[in-house]
Amino acid sequence: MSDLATMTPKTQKKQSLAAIIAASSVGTMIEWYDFYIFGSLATIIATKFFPAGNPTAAFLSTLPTFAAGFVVRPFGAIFFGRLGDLIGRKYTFMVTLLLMGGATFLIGLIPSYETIGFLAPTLVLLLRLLQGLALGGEYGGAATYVAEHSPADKRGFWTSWIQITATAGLFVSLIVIQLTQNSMSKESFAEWGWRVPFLVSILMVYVSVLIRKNMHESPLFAKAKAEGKTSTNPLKESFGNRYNFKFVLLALLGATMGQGVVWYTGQFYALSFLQKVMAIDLQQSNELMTYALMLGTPFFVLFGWLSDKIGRKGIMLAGMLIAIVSYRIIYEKMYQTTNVINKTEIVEKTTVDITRALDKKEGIETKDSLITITTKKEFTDGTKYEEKNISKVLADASAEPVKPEIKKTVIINDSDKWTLIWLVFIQVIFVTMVYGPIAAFLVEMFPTRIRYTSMSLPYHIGNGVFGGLLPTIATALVASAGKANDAAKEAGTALPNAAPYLEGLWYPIVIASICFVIGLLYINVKDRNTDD
Amino acid sequence: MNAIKRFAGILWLLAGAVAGYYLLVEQALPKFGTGKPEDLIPAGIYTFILCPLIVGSLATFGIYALKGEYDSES
Repeated sequence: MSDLATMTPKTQKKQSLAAIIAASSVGTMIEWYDFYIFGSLATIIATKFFPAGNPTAAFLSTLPTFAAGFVVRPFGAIFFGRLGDLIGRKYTFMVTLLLMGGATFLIGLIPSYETIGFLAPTLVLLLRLLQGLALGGEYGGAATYVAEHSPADKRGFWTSWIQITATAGLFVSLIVIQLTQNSMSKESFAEWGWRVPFLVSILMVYVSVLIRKNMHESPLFAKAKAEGKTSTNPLKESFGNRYNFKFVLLALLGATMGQGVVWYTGQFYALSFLQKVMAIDLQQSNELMTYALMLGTPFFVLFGWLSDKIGRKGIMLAGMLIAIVSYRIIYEKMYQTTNVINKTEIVEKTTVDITRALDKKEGIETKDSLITITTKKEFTDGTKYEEKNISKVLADASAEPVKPEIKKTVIINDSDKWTLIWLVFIQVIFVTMVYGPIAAFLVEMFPTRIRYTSMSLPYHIGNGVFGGLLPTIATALVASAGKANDAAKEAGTALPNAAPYLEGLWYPIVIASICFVIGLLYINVKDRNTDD
Repeated sequence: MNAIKRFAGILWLLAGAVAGYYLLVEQALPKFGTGKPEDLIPAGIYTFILCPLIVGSLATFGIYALKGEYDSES
């Protein structure tokens, strides 16, 4: 007897649900992949499309990051959410997949600035906007589609697989970039190889489209459509209807806003802090971040599953509260772990090297000189420290002197590496607590007829705007605390900030605190608007 | 509980006003003043995206809370 013949109806149902999750998750993961490779290759993209020293190009170079991440995603949520509630989930998230894949592929084909001038950065900007638009439509569709296939008592578990896709997309993007880099010389990668991860996307999208093509429409939407109960104007019903709009506001202010900042702190700000504030070697910081994310990823499913048993609100709010009270402690510990002031220097191994060379501008030597002082230190615990102080001596003596540029790099020992992996891992756990159950939570807040539209907007404002702005705002807060300390030093007064490197954390702490209080006070687990 | 929810509505309205002041006066205006492209983008985001979004959502939420829209049915 064949395996198929021996299957019980229950097994068949389970298998088809697993296939639905797999098909939805792969597509969503590819969309995240497409979104992340742009960020991961931003440095090379800048050199190809946004030439240094050109103010207009510099202005344009910042737009793709801000525009696609913050402005366009909510618009994508509204546009595709409406479409999903009008014509169906399946067709809509097929369109978002094709749009994202097409835009990514085309970015890989754009000639450089040297070849077509300003048309190059303009095309990059337009395609990046399309990426943001597609991402804004994809998540709500995938989460809704999976949730509407899942039994009510297992929604948290099944939708948590969609929640993994953002982290998985980041992994796949890093792996594809790494494989491409390893397969060619540095020069070839910088010349044309960086285009490969963009071009490869079309193959992934093709496979995903083939898989998604054979999927059926969500049963709840199909039923609503057959009964003539779908909305004729989802935007008006979602945001123009006072009863529903108060839930949209509650979803944003009591859930996704705090979830967004906790997610971005654990997954993105932690890496930025390791590299920019702690000056840890790029390869080492990427490696320890990868370990922490890999160890933490299964917890998305664990907390999704747990939310089916004990409720979603408690887990998400607990994640926010623990994050709020522990962020400063965790980041202080991270900072002090590799702070060389706390370590014993092996003085005889310290070297100082001074070089002087003519400065170059766009490959051509100028009359200005660059003096580089490289100091290398080693410590008894195996930590290595390098500091490069690059000062420019201008040929024109009357010109305003240029501030020296200081580059620090810390190469950490194995013990410190594992301490940092553990500290980042704890933050990833907070991420999984707030992010694992969020899809099921949002889906259950709104009825089928306007679900795609209503849940997509608060999700993308919470994550895209509140979360997405975190690195910019946190970095600005750290910089302004540093400036205040510098001013106090010059004035000979007491320093206003004892730990300026921790000041950036006030942004996620304040936002998550407001969200926690609103969530605790106003979210009522009985306020479920599902009609299934 | 409903009384606390309604009273907290005033806090959300105040929080909206404080956020608006901070974003516009403390953050955006000094950045607009420099005229540098790297400052104009965040200043524009603070003024045209974040400020309306935060102030608008907190104020509307505060008004709804004050009016008892989020009261629990006993």
